Amino acid sequence: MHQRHFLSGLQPRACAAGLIFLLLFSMVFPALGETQAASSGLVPPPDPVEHEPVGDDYFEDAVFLGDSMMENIEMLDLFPTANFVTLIGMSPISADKKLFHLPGDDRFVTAYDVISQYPHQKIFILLGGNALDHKPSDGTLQDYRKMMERMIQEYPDSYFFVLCPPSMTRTKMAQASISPKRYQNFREGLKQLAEEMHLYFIDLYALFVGEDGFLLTEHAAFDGFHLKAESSKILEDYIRRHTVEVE
Amino acid sequence: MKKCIVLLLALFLLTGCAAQEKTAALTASCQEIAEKVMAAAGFQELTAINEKYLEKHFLIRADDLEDWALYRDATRATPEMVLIAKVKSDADQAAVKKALNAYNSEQLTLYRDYQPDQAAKLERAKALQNGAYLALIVSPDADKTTAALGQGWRE
Repeated sequence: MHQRHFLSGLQPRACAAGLIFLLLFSMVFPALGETQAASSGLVPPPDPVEHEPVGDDYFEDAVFLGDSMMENIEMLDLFPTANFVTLIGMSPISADKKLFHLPGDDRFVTAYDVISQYPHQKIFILLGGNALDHKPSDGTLQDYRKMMERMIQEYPDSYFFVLCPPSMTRTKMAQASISPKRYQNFREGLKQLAEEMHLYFIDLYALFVGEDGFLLTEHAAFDGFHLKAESSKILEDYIRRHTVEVE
Repeated sequence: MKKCIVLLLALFLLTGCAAQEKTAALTASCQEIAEKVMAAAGFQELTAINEKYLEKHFLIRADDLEDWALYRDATRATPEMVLIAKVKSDADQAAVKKALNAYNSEQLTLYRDYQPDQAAKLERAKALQNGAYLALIVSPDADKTTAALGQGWRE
């Protein structure tokens, strides 16, 4: 006996309406059950297209979150209109554990509390370097994912820019007994994560790395991990050229 | 008697000169003192830091300071820094000193976890005071920089 198809009783017009409904539903809820940044600029994530550098006004509603490398950018005053939430030694897993003091407030608060105090339509994140020196890339990526899930939950209307950390010099990697592969894997994983979670990916790893996967020595500070001031200015220019116009 | 007068005159001139020197030293700018301190030990490259950073990270108001100079290792690979500040006469000097010590103590906690080999520099650092002047120096050689600070202050 010929079996009736479950849609065979429906009129073509009803089928079309159903399909349109499903299409619209999938556009509004692109990945039900997964955490994604809701906001996308006029360029879809993850790769911002290179353009002329934006001015300081672009960063008036931006927060820069990160570790010592980000504090370096703050100290050099490279983005004078942005607000910074930085703490040395911070990593994706410790972003909700490290405590901050705000001027005029005796309480200790978390990074999330501090971000909330500032205009945060755009959030630039530079974290991971302090984890990769002792933790494999997979574990660091898992921590990063959890951190981003919380970020998106806390700031659903923000545009997120994840800055992939630069590598280390050959000497520093030898001291830490790790191989360049760890940073390469992290970069690949972070880019994939950015795609999945609708985040913008800014590749600082590629900006300063040599063909062998090590941080180029001309960019490295004396410890083989942090950047020289001149290289931080290159980083600044790169960020200014890789933003997205927000809606 | 003549000898006594000569001796008294010499003593008067010496103390007079010393007092004059001390007064001159107390008007030294924080920048000048900071430069003396920085030249005394092999610091990492230190960068001049702006007011916004001073207020946010040290939790002190620049308005409370008559003059100040802040330099630090901008990579943050080390906690090395030189802060010299002259507190205004109507400002709460004790509160500024307390804020500097609290900052140093927080940095020590962070560096014990982040770069334990650098923690000793912070353990040796504390806010030092000479009249209206305050200093917080995190140095690779505390003995040398404390001596240079003393010279800068003409103690």
